[in-house]
Amino acid sequence: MLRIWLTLMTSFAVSLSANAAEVTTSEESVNNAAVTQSADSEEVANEKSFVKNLADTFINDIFESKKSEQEKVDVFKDIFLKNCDINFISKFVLGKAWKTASAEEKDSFTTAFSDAVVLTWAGRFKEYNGQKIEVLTIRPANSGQSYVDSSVINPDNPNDKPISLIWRIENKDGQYKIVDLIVEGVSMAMTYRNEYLAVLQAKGGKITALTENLQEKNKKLASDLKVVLE
Amino acid sequence: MKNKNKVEKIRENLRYSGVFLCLLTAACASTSSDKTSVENPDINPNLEPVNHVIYSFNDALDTVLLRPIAKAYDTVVPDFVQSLVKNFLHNLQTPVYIINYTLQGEGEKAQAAFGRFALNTSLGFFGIADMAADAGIPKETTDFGATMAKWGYTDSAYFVIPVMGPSTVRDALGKGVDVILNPFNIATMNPNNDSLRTADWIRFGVNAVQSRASALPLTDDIARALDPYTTMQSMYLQNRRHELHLDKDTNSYDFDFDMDEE
Repeated sequence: MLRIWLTLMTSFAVSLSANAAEVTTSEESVNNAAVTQSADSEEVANEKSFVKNLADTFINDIFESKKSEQEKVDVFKDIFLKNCDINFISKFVLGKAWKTASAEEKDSFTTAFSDAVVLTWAGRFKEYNGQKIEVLTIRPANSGQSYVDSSVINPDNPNDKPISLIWRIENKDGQYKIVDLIVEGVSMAMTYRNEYLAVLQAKGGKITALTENLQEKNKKLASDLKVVLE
Repeated sequence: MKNKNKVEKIRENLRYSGVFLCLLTAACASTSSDKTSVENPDINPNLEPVNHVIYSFNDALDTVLLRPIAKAYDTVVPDFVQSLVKNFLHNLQTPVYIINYTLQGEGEKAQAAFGRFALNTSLGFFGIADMAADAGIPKETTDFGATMAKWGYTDSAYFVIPVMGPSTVRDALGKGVDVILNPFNIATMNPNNDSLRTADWIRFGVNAVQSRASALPLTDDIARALDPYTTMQSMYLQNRRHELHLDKDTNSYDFDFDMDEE
């Protein structure tokens, strides 16, 4: 009796997986056809390689490197400032408060914000576990920007659904820069905006108060990591 | 006599969940369906003070009890054993996935969940080994909150559940329903069988520790933020919308960076 039931279940499961296999192979042949029909335009190819190179740099030069924590943070900060449009993001994150801010307030905030992002990332370096990033497709975004879809695969659990990581990039005078990272639907820029808006509300809208809070927090994060940010 | 006790006990359990559901429905009623916060439509300002209190309580409990236990579990238990535990717990929850996918009209996903359950329970040592993964059957989860969203309850206010953490009013209700939907839970609610009740408590404990441990990288990250409450809230709401495919035409991340120029 048990044997009959087991055989039934196994054959049912096997037919299910056969269906799954069928579906994926027919999907694959359609995708292959699409790829051979239209090779990537130059723009698309450039955007893909920008993200691919950046991801490789992060993994090889930082996450997996044997450098000291301080060196890793320094390298990361360099790459971050060069490849991320932090001024653009700062403006978005502060929202309406940006309009009434003085140039000095904007500057101090942008520096403190940038340091906060670097230090938060530095705290994540040790989480890297050999994940691989695969660049997939490009889609248009608002304001002439682009979404670069990628997926993050964990080599320990290759059967788990890959994590979706979208890079939102802009083309600024011929140079690509990141303006947002979206992980499983969560936009980093929007999250920071919501967070800082709440802090501003609690501080009566004073940007200097927000900046000071950030600077304090940064000091603590840096000392926890035993690094120094110039 | 025994049967009467059993029925009474189940009635009691249902009564408690009923009270819980009523409280939440009352919370629903007091929150209007008008989108209230301009910045974020999923937040009800009337509910926020309550949320802050519950969050502080959860944070304290977490610091003192949950996180240390989860951290110890994560450090001491080898990764592959953690995977086995995850597989086993996932398998126990699969009837809930099957039922909810069916309620949502997702026939294929319900079938896949059933196939996983059948294969893993029989050949996978009651779910410990994930044979279905090797057979290529996709692993997807769902819950009654997602079912309600599919049925039209698309907008729901952020609500922090005591002990359990960030959620929405709809999803908190959903969790209550999911408890009743799982036949394994109904079976272990049997008051006459001590070993079944113990098994139920053990499962509850292991589930709590395992999910807390899985969430460690994320929660440690949130703890580094300037305002952890708002960070957690923002991340949870964006991710939940994404998970439920609620923004079909535009994603919540499709915002215009110049939105304040309007």
